[in-house]
Amino acid sequence: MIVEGKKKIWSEYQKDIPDDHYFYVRSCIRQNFFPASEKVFLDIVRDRLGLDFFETPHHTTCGGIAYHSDSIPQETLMTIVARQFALMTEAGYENYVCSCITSFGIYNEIINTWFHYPELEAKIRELLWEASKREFKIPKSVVHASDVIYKLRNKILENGKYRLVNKNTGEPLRVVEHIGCHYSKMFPSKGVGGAEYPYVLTGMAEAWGGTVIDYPERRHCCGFGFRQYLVQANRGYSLSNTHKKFESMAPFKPDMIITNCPGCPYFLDRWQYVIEELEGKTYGADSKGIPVFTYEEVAGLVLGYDPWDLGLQMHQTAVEPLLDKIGITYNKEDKYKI
Amino acid sequence: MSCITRCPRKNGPGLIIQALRNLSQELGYFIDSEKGRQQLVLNRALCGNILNYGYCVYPRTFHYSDHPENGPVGKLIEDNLEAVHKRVGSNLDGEGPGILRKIPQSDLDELKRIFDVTGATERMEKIETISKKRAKELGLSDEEYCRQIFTINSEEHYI
Amino acid sequence: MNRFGYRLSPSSQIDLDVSDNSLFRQILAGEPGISTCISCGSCVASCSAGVFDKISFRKALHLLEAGMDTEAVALLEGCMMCGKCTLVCPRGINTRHAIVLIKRKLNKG
Repeated sequence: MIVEGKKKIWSEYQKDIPDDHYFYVRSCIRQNFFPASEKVFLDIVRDRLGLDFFETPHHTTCGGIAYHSDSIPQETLMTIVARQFALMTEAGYENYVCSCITSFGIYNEIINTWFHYPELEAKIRELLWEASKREFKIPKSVVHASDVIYKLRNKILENGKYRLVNKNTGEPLRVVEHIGCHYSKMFPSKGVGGAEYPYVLTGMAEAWGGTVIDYPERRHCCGFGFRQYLVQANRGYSLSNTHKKFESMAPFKPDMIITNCPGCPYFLDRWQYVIEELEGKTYGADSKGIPVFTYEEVAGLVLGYDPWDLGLQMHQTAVEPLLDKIGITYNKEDKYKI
Repeated sequence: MSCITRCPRKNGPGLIIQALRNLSQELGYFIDSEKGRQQLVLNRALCGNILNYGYCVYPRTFHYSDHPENGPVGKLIEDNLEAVHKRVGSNLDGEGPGILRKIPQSDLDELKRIFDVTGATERMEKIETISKKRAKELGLSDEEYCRQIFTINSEEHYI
Repeated sequence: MNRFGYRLSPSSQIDLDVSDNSLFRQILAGEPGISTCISCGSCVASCSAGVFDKISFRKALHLLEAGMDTEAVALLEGCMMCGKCTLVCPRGINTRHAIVLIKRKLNKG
């Protein structure tokens, strides 16, 4: 790998991330499977750093999973999103931050489509008015929550208790960074670092002491594929996708995987369990699996949160090997205490 | 959407596939292919969740029996749903903002009206009608038909 | 079927560093024109036997190049050697000759 070349390309994709005053919308998948991640995110930005992140109970799904599974027409998706924008406008905000990567891709896709087809935007404004008597402004800025943590990575380190370093060897931990497909593959300029060399997670991992692994299938999809997972008959496609990715990363001996999409950690985590059950193969050193994390969970670990407050007990692949490597103290008995 | 990044002409093959799937629904062709027929179960699960709860995925309709890959931890979460979510700070079905909060009925009504005025309701009804007709032709009950399209893969979709 | 209701499929990735495409190289030596193929599919669209059988010269070339000889030959078995594909090829490839070469090589074992 020519490191200088990559750094040059990264520098061309520097995204403007606002400092403060965000309208925050949640992710369906993250709320279901990694709920504590959203709690920790708001805890960090609001309570620890004192920033303004407004949330309304009236926001809903963006409809993205249904749209990509061909269950709702594009006009329906656009009108649901227009309603979210209307809620932001009514609350007096201009910076929109979402927890979900599918949503992030959808907001970019819709704003871009309206730019090229203003008559469609006009039609959606009429449909929204007809359905709910609301009006909206297009956000001045749309960012993903991982962009915000990326921007705050050095502040998090300053307040941090742990680093992504092996306490026994003093070596940086070997991190696989997995970016959600819809973060920047569709609109490279909307993601930090573009589509080929996204820097959003690499920046976090490097700032917090880790080293990032470059492996052949680094940009490969986690395998979700919407209808490929949602219908049981198709799940072999999803599983085989993830398997390909694991086979590619395994020789590089990663210590952990960090993701920014809500769905990816679910699949990278759960498919390791299924591959073990079906093929008898367990990845990771000592065959204990490769722990998979959301970026909020890693930020939380760096800041010294209790692993069980971060919801790490909701992972199928055990996280303890990584906690032990870093030297994080935790109570074993508390893991499943509810 | 990896195809978009790779396309030297900045086309979106993934979006073209989406457009063709939509067209096959509009024209009713979806019923004649194994993958097309799956639309019924997708619609019921996803549109059902959106209209009833305001989420695309909702924990009380995401069953371990349909998702065994969720693993023993997934089973533990399902069996202790409320306690697990309370432990990690969710506001499951609660009032006000927060994780998995109960979305107010007035907002769900708005979503329903959006579905009505943008053609989603009509599309759902069309999928239902055509699928029910096919199930009847095959002599299958609604439940049997859904089970079949949800679980059977003829494995004729390779290469 | 296992308790999950689906299975893992082997990767269809072709590693060109290790795949054996010697048959493709032999055909290329006999009919160099195939290196100019743009995969337009005119040969498939005009195939007389195509409506009765799974025939695709375009796809067969790709498979041969990847070293998947058995799969490639299966797509040419029904060819009637009418030569219509040669007439329509926009790159002027003697597709009929290439097919003859493939069949001849295989007949020799």
